Amino acid sequence: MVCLLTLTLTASSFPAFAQDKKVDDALENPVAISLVGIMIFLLLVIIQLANILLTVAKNKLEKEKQNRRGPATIVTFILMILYSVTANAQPEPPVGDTEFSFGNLSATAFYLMISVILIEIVIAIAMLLNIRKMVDTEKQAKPALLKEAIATKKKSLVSWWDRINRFRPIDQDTNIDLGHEYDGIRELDNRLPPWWLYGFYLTIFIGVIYFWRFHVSHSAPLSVEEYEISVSHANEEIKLYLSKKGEDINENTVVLLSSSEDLAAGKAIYLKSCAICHKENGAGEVGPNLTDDYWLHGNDIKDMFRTIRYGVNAMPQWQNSYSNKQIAQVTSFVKSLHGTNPPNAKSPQGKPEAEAMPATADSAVVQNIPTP
Amino acid sequence: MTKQPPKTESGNLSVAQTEKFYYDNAIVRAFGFATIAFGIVGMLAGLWAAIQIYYPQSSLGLAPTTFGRMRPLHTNAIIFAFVGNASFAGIYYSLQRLCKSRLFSDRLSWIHFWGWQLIIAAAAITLLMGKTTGKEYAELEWPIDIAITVVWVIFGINMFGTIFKRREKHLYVAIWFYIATWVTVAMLHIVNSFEIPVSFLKSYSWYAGVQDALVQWWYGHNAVAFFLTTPVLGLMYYFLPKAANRPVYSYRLSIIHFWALIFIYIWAGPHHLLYTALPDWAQSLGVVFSIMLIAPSWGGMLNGLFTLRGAWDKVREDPVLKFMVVAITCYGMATFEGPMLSLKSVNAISHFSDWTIAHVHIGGLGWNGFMAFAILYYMIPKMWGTSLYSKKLATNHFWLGTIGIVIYAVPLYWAGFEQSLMWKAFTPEGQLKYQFLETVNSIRPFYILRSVGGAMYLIGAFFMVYNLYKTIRSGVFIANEAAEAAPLIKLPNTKNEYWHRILERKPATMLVLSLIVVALGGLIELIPTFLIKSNIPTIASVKPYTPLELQGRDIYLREGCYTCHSQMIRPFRDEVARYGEYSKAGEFVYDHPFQWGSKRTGPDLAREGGKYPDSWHYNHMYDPSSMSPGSIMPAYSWLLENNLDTGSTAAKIRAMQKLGVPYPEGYANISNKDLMRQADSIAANLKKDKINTASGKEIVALIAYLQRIGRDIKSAPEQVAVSQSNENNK
Repeated sequence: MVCLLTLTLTASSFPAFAQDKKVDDALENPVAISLVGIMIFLLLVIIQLANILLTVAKNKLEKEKQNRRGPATIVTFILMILYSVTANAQPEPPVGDTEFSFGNLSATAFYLMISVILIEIVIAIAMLLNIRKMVDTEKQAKPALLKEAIATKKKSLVSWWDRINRFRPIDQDTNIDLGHEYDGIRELDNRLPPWWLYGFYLTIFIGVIYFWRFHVSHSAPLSVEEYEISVSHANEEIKLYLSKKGEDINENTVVLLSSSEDLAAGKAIYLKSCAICHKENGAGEVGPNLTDDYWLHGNDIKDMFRTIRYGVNAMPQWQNSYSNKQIAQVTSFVKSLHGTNPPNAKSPQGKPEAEAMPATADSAVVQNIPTP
Repeated sequence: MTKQPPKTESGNLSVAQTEKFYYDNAIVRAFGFATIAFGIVGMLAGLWAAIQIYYPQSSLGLAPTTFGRMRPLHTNAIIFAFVGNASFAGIYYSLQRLCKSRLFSDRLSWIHFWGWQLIIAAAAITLLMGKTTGKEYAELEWPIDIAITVVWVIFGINMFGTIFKRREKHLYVAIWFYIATWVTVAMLHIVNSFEIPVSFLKSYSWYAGVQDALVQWWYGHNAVAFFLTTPVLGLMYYFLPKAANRPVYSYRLSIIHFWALIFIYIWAGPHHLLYTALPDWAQSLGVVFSIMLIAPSWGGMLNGLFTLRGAWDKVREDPVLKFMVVAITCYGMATFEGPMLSLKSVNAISHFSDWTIAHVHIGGLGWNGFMAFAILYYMIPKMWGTSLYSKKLATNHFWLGTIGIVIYAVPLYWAGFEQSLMWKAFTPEGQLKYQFLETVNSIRPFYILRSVGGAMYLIGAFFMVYNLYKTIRSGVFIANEAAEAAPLIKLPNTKNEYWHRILERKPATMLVLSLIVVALGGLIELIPTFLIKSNIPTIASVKPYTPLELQGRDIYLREGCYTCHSQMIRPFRDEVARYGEYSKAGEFVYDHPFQWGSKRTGPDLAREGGKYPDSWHYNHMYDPSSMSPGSIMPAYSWLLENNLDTGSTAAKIRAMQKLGVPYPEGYANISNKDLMRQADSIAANLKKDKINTASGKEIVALIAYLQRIGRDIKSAPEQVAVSQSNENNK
C-alpha cells in the first residue's frame, strides 16, 4: 500500500506537461490525490474490520444455533453483513469539474471526497463499536469460544503478516543466531523483508525516471515553465469568465459610479483596506489627504482608478485583491470624500486639482505586473 | 531462547584470564541530569514561543523574549542541549559496555561535559541578546562555533580512544552510527560555519545568496540527519534489545540501512529549497534522493520494531519499551512524510506553512523526545541499583506525551493545509481571494490548540522528573560499576569471514569510509554551484547595500525577522500576484548571509521595498496592529529608542569587501557620511508624515533596509549605488 501511495504521489509530481489544458485535471491535483489516498486507506481499514466482524459474527451465530437463543442474533448478523456490504460499495469520487476552486479542486469534488471520508470514518467507528459489543456479550457468555474465533482470525492475519515480511518462526531463532554478542545483545541473520527491498529498488527507479524526465528528456516542466503554464492557463480562464459575465471595466472605460449600493460597497472596501493609511474620513496620515484639492497622481476618475489598480511608489497595487468593478466602486467613494474638510487633515501634497489632469510620468512606474 | 548460541566466534571466550575494570557512570549521570534540565528549559521556551504566536503581548514587550529570539533559543536548546546531552549520556553509557572498557579518559569526559554546558549557556545568553548569524540551527556566533569544534574534537578523541582500547573484537552497529555521527557533524559544522568576524560577537557568512542557502540547508537537513537521527538510531540499537531482551532482528538489514542511510541523506538538503532560486538540477537531486531515502530510514524502524517480535507482551508492561515503540513509529511516520514533502507538488502546498512545523515535531517530540525519555527511564534505575519508583506514573507520562503529540500535530497539519490553500485561492475574476492577514486569523484557533498539546507534553516531562527523583532517592549511585572481560588478543582471523565483519574490526577504516560516503553527495552538489557561473546569472542592476541598509539588515537579523518572514517569492501565480515578480538567483549575490527563511508566519518580504511609505513602517514597528489590524506580529518599540551603533560601520564594510562585495577602495572610512546622509533623508521623509525622530535611531536603519529589499530588479533604471544612497527614498 505504502509503495502504491508513494507511486501515486510521485506520479503527481509530474504535472501534465506543456501546451495542453490538462494541467488542472483533478487527478494531478495533490489535494485530490491525498484525499483519494486517505479514502483508500480507510477503505482498507473497513474491509479488514468487516472481515473480523464477519468471523466474530459467524462464530457467534454458530454458537447461538447450538444454544437456540432466538432470532435476535440473526438480525445482528444480517446487520453486520449489511455493514460490510456498504463498506465495500464505497462510491468512487467524481473527478473533474471546475468553476469554484478549493485549492484548485472544484468545491463539489472536494466536499464529496470529504463526505466520503467522513462516512468511511463513521462506518469504521460503527463497526468497531459492534465488534466491541459482540465481544463483550461473548465474554459474558462463553469466553473460550470467542477466544478460539479470534485466534483463528488472528492466525490468518499473522500468517499474512509473516509472509509479507518473510518472518521465520520465533522458536527457530537459534538457527539464525550469528553468534555475535555485545554486552548481551545478539544478532540474528534474518532476511530483508522483500517488500522493503523491492520498495527500495522501486524508489531508485523512480528517482532515475524523475531526473531523466526533468533534465534529460525535458518532458516535465521546470519551476519557471510550470509558472508560465499556470499563468497563461489562468489568464485564459479569466478571460472566458469575464466575457461570459460581460464585465469590461478598465482604466480607459471606467466612469464615476453614483448609485448608493456602489458607494456603500466602495466605502466598505475603503474602510477595510484604505482607512489604515488615509484615515476613515480621508484626512490622511501615512498616506496623503484625500479630501483636499491637492493630488499627487491626478484626480481624474481614470487616473485614480489606475493609481489604485496598479499602485504608485508607496501606494500599494490592489489589482490582485479587488476586481475592476470593486476598484471603480472604491474610486467613486473616494471622489465622494472631496471637500468634506475633516479635522486634523494632513497638509496638502502634490499639485492643486485641475480638470482632467494628465497622468504624470510618475504614475506609470509599475511594470512587472502580469496583466490579465 | 537466546542463551545457547550454536556457534561462537573466537576472540574473547577462548581466553581464561579476565580483567577487572569499572564503567564510569558519573559522566553518564551528569549528561543525564543536563538532558532533563535543558529538556525542560527548551520545552518551556517552545511553549512560550507557541503562545506568543497567537498572543504576541506575552513576549512582555521585551527584546530578548520576543518570538524572533525565543524561537532560535527553543530550537538550539532542544537540538543541542536536550537531544545533544541525551545522546552523549546514551553514547557514553552504551559505548563503555559495547567496548567492554571504561571511557578513554575521565578528564576528557569532564572537559567534554563542562565544555558542552558552557557552550549551551553561552548560546542561551547570546541568542537572547540577539547575537546571531541568522542561519537557522547554526545561529551561534563565531567564538561559540570554535568552542563547539574544540569540544567536538575532544568528544571524538574520547570516543575513538575508548574504541581503540576495547576488549571486544568487533564494533556493534550502534558504534557505526556513533562514528558516522561524529565525522559528519564535524564536516557539516565546519563547512557551514565559515564566516568572517567583524567583531567579538558579529560575523558574516562566508557564502552569499544561493550558495549560502545551499550550504545552509545541506547543513540544516543533515543536522536533522546526523545530530537527531543517527546518534539516536545508535541508541535504539543498544537500548531496545537490552530493554526487550531480544536479539537484533537482522544484521544484514543493519548493514544495508546504515550505509544507504548515511550515503543518501547528505544529498537530500536541497529539498528545503524547492521552487526557490536554487538551480533546478540541484533541486531535482534533492527530490530524487529524498525519495530514495524512504527505504533506508524504514530499515531502521523495521529493525527496531521487528526486534520486538516475541516481546510484545513486555511492551504492555514496560514503560521504557512503550516510549521506544512510539518513538520508532514516529520516526517511521516522519521519514515517510519527509520524502512526500519533498515531492514538488506537495511541497508547493506544505512549504512555508505550519505543515512543516507539524512534521518536524512528529520527529522532535515523538522520535527524539520519547527516545530520550526511554533511555533515562532505563539508565537511571540501573545506575542507582534500584528499580523505577512508579511504572504507573511513567505510563501516565507516556499517555500524556502521546496525546500531547497528537493534539500538537493534528491542528498544525490542518492549519498548514488550510492556510496554504487560502494563499493560493483566486476569485474567478483573477484576484487573490484572501488578504494575508485573513489567512493568519483563520488559523489562530489551531495555534491555541497546538500550545495545549505542547503543554501536555511538558507536564508529562514533569511527571518524569518527579518519578526519576523518587527513583534516585530509593537507590545508591554506583559511580564506578564493576565489570570484567578478557583482554583482546591477536588471534588469526577466521577464514572466509563476511566482508563487513572485517570492517567492523577496523574503526579507523570505518571512520574514513564513512567520511568518504558522506562527503560525496555534498561535494557533487556544492562544487558546481560555486564554480559554474551559469548557475547564478548575474544581474547588472543588483548593487551592494548602502552602509545604512547594511546596518538595518543586521538589525533584521538580530531581531530574528527571518523566523517568520521569508524573502523568497516562488514562481507561483499566487505568490507573484501577492508579493511581486518571483525571486531570481542573481538578486542575492551580496546577501551574507541569505535570508530566504523557511516559514511564513508573516508575509514574504522579498519585494517589500517601496511597497509602503516610510511612515507606515515606523508606525508598524511601534505597533503592528495600528497598520495591520489583527496582526500577530510583536511590537518592536525599542527600535524607536535605541541609537544605531555607527561605530561598527567601517568594520562591517571592510568585512564585506573581504568577502568580495565591490565597495570602492577606502569606502569604509567615509561610509558613515553616506550613512548619515541617507538617515537624514529618511528622517525628513518621516517628518513630512508628522513623525519626529532623530536620524540616528535604529528604526531609521531598519526602514532603509526594508525599503531596499527586492528593489534592484523591481525598478531597474533606478540607481541605488553606494555613493548616492539618499536617492533611495523619495
